Order: sequence, then structure tokens, then C-alpha cells
Amino acid sequence: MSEKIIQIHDVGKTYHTGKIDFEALRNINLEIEKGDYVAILGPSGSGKSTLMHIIGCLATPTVGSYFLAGKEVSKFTSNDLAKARNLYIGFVFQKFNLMPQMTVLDNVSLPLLYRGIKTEERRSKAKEVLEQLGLASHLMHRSNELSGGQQQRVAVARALVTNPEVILADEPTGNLDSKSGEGVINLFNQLHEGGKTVILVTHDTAVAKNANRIIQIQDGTIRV
Amino acid sequence: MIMLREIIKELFYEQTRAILIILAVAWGTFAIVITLAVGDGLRLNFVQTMSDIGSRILVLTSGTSTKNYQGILANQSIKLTKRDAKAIADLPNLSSVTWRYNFQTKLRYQDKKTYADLRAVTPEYVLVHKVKTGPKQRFISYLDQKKMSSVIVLGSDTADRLFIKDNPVGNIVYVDNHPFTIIGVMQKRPQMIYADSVPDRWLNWIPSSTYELLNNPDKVDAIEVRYKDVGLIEQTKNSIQKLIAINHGADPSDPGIVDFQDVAQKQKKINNFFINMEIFLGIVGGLTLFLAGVGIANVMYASVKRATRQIGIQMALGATARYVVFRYIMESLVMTVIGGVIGMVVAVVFVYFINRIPLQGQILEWTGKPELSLSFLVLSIVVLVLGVTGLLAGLFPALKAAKIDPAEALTYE
Repeated sequence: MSEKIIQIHDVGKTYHTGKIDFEALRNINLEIEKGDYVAILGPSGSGKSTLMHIIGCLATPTVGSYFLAGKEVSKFTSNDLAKARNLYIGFVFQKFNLMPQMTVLDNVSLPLLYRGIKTEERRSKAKEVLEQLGLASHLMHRSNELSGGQQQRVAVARALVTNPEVILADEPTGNLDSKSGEGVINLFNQLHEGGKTVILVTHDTAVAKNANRIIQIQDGTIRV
Repeated sequence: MIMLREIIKELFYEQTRAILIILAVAWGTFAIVITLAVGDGLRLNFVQTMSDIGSRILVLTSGTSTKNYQGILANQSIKLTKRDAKAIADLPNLSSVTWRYNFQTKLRYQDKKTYADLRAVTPEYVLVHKVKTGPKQRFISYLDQKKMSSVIVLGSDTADRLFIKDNPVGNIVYVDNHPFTIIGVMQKRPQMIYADSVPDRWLNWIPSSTYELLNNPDKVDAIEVRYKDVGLIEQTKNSIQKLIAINHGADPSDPGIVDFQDVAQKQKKINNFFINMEIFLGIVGGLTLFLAGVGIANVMYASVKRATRQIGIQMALGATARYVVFRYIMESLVMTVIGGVIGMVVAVVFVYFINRIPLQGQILEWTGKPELSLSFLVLSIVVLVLGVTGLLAGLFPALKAAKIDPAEALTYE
């Protein structure tokens, strides 16, 4: 029997803006097994980003419980959430979110910095991952010296450097041309084949089709 | 160390911001170092000036009885005499005692004339006042006193007014037409406070015995004593008062019969003035540095706002709020330390050159030549103020940064 890496039970998320309460998610129940390849598909405003924030420990649910790798992170403090993100989640964002002042090598080694790993080891691990993704010749470049596709590969390398349980990608092809997007999706496919749990958050059905399982979300709930 | 390297890299990336902050801190540090150095330099110069002269001098002048006592009526002047001085010399806690007669008269040297203040004193005067004469010169000796010699020691000011440049020992000065042989000229020294009514350099000295021979005075103008232990000064004053009372048949408990002036008290007042001035200058310098600190905080606030998205990314990758706080405080401290070191180095170089400028002017006869002082105390205060400034300037922006919601920050444009 496969191990469940993500277990979400009756989760809801309400945002309070002034006197208005906005219910972004309600009654979300979701289980994802280790090694799964899941796409969370939904249109803009459907609540998929909120769900991604909760899965990625960037936010906690207002109600319900969320277990990540067997730990109830919905009750974690902000410090514990930060550690959980560093330990279990590798983020890939639509806008790459690389640090412009840093080199590719420094960007990729950044998550290891927060783990307190020494410079030499950080650099060596980052270099290894970048070489695996075909970026060995760009180690000392800054992000603005790279193409969109290359930047997203760097972001994937940064997500992988800590060897996390889950790769969580938010619209990873949204800022890329179709060829570069295809390259990045192929990368996720390979990661899944290598045994990683991959979660793609997207509004693009074509992207979602790469996953083994599609979870459709609309108006803050999962459509069955 | 890991963080420090990241911070320095970031400072290089945002050079203009870093340079402006560092310059502000450097200027603030320079200002506080210099103002404190000026204050401390003046105070230390005063302390040095006093240590050349000594402060444990008590000057006794005639008083007036305040009540009837035996044969003495109230408001009767008590005239101090040689006999009082000689009796006082036997009291404990006193190292030297002299008496003096004051008078002003005309001095003539060759064709030069001047009016001058003269003091007829005993040889002990030199022990009380530490007056120094030039090489191969001397002060009034016991032999001069015994022989009632017509010898004179000129004050440096009188020597200048009489245009005496070379060693004048053996030459004659006419004191009110009486010939006196010059035996010494007082060496110049700065003097901000003095036991007499005028600074020592304005005075000229002859043996008291010579004065007594010529004038047969019935009282002395003052008795001056150098005491040993400042802690026993009140007992010493009481003993002197009682002794004078006994000598003159006055009430021993009457404080009016003798007037005391304590040079140490004057010194204490002036020293306190310098300390207060130093505190004031320190506050002025500190405010300059504080303004630099406000500048840092402002720039850091702007920096945090601009870096909201980056902070969100860092948090998404695992940076804790504590890390973010620490990181921004460190950034502020790094810039403060760099600016502080630059400011201190520039101040040290500035002080080095300023201290080498030959100062001239009459004021220096009073104050001596004050040197800017970079004492351990000054530098400690500067380091402390810098540390607090850097910490506070970084703390508030850092707390703001730590409150950033990573989910929101990732969508921040």
C-alpha cells in the first residue's frame, strides 16, 4: 500500500477583508500518495492558488486539517511552517522568482542556506543539480542573462536541491513560449518517472493532461 | 558567516544605497568622535595643567569676628601674622606653609619700566606653588631669607614686559628705586585657576624678610598652605581656625575669624564644568549619529518594501521570520560598522593633523595647548552609540520584514 504524503480533510479558507469575508475554499478533501503526479486544474479565481498555498505550507486553513508527511502542519507556527516548506516542498513559480542579484549557482543553493548547510556543500549540491538539468555552463550567470526556459529550469533546480518530498509547481509554463513550456513539462514528467511527487497547479488543460490524476477545482470546491 | 557573505554581496548589488548609508554613518561617527575628543581634550588639558601646579592649596586671609568673645568684639578684623603662620606649620596634614605680603610697585630694568604685582614670600612658597625657574636660576633661598637679601624672581609676564630675553641672572631690577638682583625668571606655564588673586606669571617675588626690613608690617596679607590629604581638609581647617582664635583671643567656634579659599574646590568646579561640556558635546555628536540612524532606518524601510517579493521568495524557500529579522539587523549593523570604522579612521587622521598645528594666542597662556583626545572612554562611547544606532535602525524594518505574509508577498509587484 502506498504512503499518503498529503492528507487534506474538510479544509476551508476564509479571507477577512474589512467587513467582508471571502470564502476561497470550502470542504476540501484530498489525498495524494507519494510518487503521484497530480494536476490541480481550475480557472482564475477558482481557489486553486489558495489550495496551492495551503499544500505548500505558505498559508494555513481556517478550518479542517492538513497532514503533510504524517504531520499536522495546519497547526504549525510560522517558524515550523518555514521549516516544513524547506524540508518537504520544492516550489516552482510561474514568474520563476529567482533572486536577480544572485548568480544561478547562488540561487539554487539558497534553500540549503536556510538549512544551515555550509557554503562548500551548498555549492557542490547546487552544481550537481544544475549539471543534471543541463545548466552547467550557466553557473555564474545572473538570472536576467538567461532565457525564460533557462530561468524556469534554474527554478526547478532550486526546487530539487533540497531533495523534497513534493514538487509544487504553480503555472510553471505560464510565462514561457510553447517550446520552452514543453521542455519544462518534460522535466516534470522525468521527475515523476524518477519517483518524485509532482503537483502542477494550472488553468491549462493541455498541461494538466500530463499528470496521472486531475483534480478540478471551481468556486472553492473540488468537482467530483 | 554564511549570512554575512550574502549581505555583503547584496550591498555590492545595491551599491548606491549602501554607499549613502555608509557615508551618513561615517559622518555621524566622525562628528561624535570629534566633539567628544574636543571635550575630553580640554578636560584632560585642564587636569594636566592642574597637576603641574597642584590643587591641594589652602589660602588663608584675615577675617572678621562675628560675635563678642572675651576681649574681642563682633565685627573686629582679625589680622593674620607671621606668628600664626609659624604656629600653623606645626599642625598635622600640612606639608608646607608660607606667608606673603602683597604690593604693587614700579619695576625698572635698564631703561624699561613697568608696574607689577609683587609678593614678599618665604622660601617655602616654592613648595606650595611649585614655581619653576629657568636653567641655572633659582627661587628665594633660606640664605636669602636669613640675610634679608635684595634678590628678586621675576614672573614670566614681567620678564616679557621688560624685554628680558637672555638669562638675566645677576642683573639689577629696581623695585621702587631699590636695587634687587635677579636670581631667576619663572618658567611660563598655563594656569586656568590660581591660589592668588592673579595668575602666577603676573607676579614677582622677593624675600619676606627683606620686605619686613623695609616696611615693618604688622600683619601678613595671606598665609598659604599645601596640605597632604584632601579627606582631612575639614579637620585641618578647624585646627587652623582654633589656632588662630587662640592666638588672637577670639572665639574658636567663630568661622568668621579666618577666610579659607580651597584651590581644590575651584578645580572641582571647573572639572565638573568640563565634564558637563563633554556630556553636552557628546549629546550633540550623538544626535548627529542618531540622525544618521534615522536615515538608515528610512532607507531600510524602503528597502524592505522594495524587497517584499524577494522576502516572500526567501520565506517560501524556508527562511524563517527569525532569519529575516536577524538578516536585516545584520545588514544594518554591517553598514553601521563599515561607516563607523571609516568615520573613526578619518577622525583619528584628522585629530593627528589638528594636534600638530602650532596654535598661538593669548588664550593658550590660560588654557595651555589642548590636544584632541581619543581616549578609550571616547572610543567606547562611540562604539556603544554606533551599536545601538545600527541595532535600532535595523530592528524596526526587520520586524516589518518578518511580518510579511509569504503567500501575499509572492504576488507583490
